[in-house]
Amino acid sequence: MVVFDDRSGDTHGLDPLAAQIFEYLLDHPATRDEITRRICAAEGATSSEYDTVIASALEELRKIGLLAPSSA
Amino acid sequence: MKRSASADSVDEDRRLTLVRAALCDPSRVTTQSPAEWNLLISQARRAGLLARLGETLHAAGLLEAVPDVPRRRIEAERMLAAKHAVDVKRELAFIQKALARTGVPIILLKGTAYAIAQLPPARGRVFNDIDILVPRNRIAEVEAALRLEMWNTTDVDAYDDRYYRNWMHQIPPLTHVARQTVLDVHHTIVAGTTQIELTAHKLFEAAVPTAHDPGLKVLAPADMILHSAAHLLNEGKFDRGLRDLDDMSLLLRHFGTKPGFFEALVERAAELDLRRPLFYALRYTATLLETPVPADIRNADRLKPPRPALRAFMDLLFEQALRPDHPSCRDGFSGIALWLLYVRAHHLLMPAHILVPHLLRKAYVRRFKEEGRKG
Amino acid sequence: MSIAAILRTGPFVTRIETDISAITHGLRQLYAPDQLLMDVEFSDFDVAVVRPLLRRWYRPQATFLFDGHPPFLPLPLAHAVPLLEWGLNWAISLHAHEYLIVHAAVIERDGFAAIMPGVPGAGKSTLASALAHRGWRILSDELALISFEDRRVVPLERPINLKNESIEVIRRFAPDAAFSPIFRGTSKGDVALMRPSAGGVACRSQRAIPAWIIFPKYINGLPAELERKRKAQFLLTLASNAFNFSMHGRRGFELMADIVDQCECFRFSYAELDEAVEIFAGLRPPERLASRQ
Repeated sequence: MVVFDDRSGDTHGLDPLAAQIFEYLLDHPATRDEITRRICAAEGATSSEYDTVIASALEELRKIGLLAPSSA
Repeated sequence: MKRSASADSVDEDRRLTLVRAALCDPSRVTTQSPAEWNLLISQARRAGLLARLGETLHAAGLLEAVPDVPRRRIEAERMLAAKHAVDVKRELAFIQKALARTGVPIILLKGTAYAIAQLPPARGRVFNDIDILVPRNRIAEVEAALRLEMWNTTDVDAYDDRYYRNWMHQIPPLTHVARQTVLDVHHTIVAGTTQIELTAHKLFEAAVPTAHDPGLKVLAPADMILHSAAHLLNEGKFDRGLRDLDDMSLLLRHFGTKPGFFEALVERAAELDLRRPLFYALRYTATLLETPVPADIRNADRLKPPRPALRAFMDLLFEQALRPDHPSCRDGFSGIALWLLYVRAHHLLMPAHILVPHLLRKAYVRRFKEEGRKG
Repeated sequence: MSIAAILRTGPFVTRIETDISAITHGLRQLYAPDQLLMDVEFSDFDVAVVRPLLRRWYRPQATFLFDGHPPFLPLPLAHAVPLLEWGLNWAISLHAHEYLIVHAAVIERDGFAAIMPGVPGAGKSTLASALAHRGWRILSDELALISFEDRRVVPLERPINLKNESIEVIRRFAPDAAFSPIFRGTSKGDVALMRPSAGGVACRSQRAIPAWIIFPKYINGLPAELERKRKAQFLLTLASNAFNFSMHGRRGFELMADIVDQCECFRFSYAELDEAVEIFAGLRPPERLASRQ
């Protein structure tokens, strides 16, 4: 997936996992746990397997400015 | 192939005033020949005024009538200017974020100010650097905070670095490592140790918050014009001279409608000891760009006008310097005129015993740096 | 004594002033007669290739001027013609914002264009030059100009820049091709300019519909291979190869995405030009585009 960020003018290429997370979060702001549960359910895996992978995908999205933590 | 349309086919008087005339009276362009159009586009682009010309024509409803070729060149430049306007806001957000923790008050200057305060000179402006003003006693703090967020001085040797910090009114330009944007941090609006002293705190006192963001301030209208005047007429660099003069013209037209503005402007010039720059600014915006400056203001005693002989000489020099920086606008006298104004600017800036070694050093460094690059 | 010529290339009219005879000779050699105009014309760009005042006798130089100002350092006088070509490319890539400009070679057949982005050393100029003599028309070896209005690629109508070994390779591949002399020892090595084969004016200026995006790569010793790839990577690479992508922001992104969407995207590796020609001959435009035409 390729994303164009209107605010920064940057273009980003997201790998399939990051793309999946990004698309989901566009419609439903969620906590990290909720995202992990959802992805694991879709992949039929346990959370411990996917924890680190999802954590780094979230960190990547945050670094490129597509994700911001909310205090809500 | 034979000799074809060139600057020669446009007569000298017209050649020298093409850009100015188009800005003053856009309808003139509707009867231009191809040779005049070509020259106008080329000169305006060189002067950084092509996009502004486009905006002027657009505002006058004349852009559609411009022939295809010059029109597409103008439109391309307008696109560039529009992009720059967006970039300025973006970059400013980064700068604010970097300086937030210091709590240092920031005043926006020049093009950055025009863009954020949405003033007429923002139209069709092609930006390069961001210019901000901070209190002199907070400069070290500001520089440190910026360096932390990946701004850095580049391409400045130790001597130039000292020159900037001791004599100029800004630290050396800072470039952001990743975005390659340039930031000029000023601490006063004329250079450090000069014949003309300026108290920066007066500027901060009078500064005005912007609608875009109350945390971002710009100079008060009179100070904005005085800054522009001091910059243009005292600094000896004229590559954007006509553009800067047009900025001032637009500011004077915009603020001048307010009753009492011109009188207050003159008073402020006296207060900040910028009488002479204002005198020349009013004079040249009026004579070269038909700016409506009241005659009694132009000739005000309060401005302590120069002696007629000096004034006439300056008229000659500045008329040269305020032409577009284009071969079609140069004559035998141009080089000397520019050099004299350059020396004058430095004389105003530095005591004589420092001036000559500095000019020598600048010439030496420039020549050898160029040789080095070629090798 | 300097003279001025008006050169019409693709969508641009350029006034060129020069006091160097190699330039006037080069212009006649590399451009069609109808591209060189006599009379006053509206011009997009005003350039000059002249001998600088100093250094007239010792290691003479040529300098390129745009609006009377030199954007780069001078080159040896012997390299005046490539200097003009590089200068014209510079002028277009910095100022022609009415187009989305991608660093790529573009060739066309039956109204459909193959865009080949410019990874350095990938041999896109060589490949494009070869194909230009085997049934394809070359729109540019360097700059793909994509119109926002109709999403087509606009031809540049300029000579092709070949370097080092490619010069000899193409000379053998296309013995009838018209070449400039070889300019030796430039910053890019030995350089020669090849005049595109003569086509009528109407055909020469035809725009083309993008149908294929192909990343070429010269790999010695292996058979030629055309491999379909996921489009996301192509969009990213194309964006990073576009000179004015960030200038156009969202509008540029959308145009680029539309183009990648409508094209078939391949990686192409080759060693033999004949093999490459055959594979390209087998390319068919995507069904949607073919029916639209």
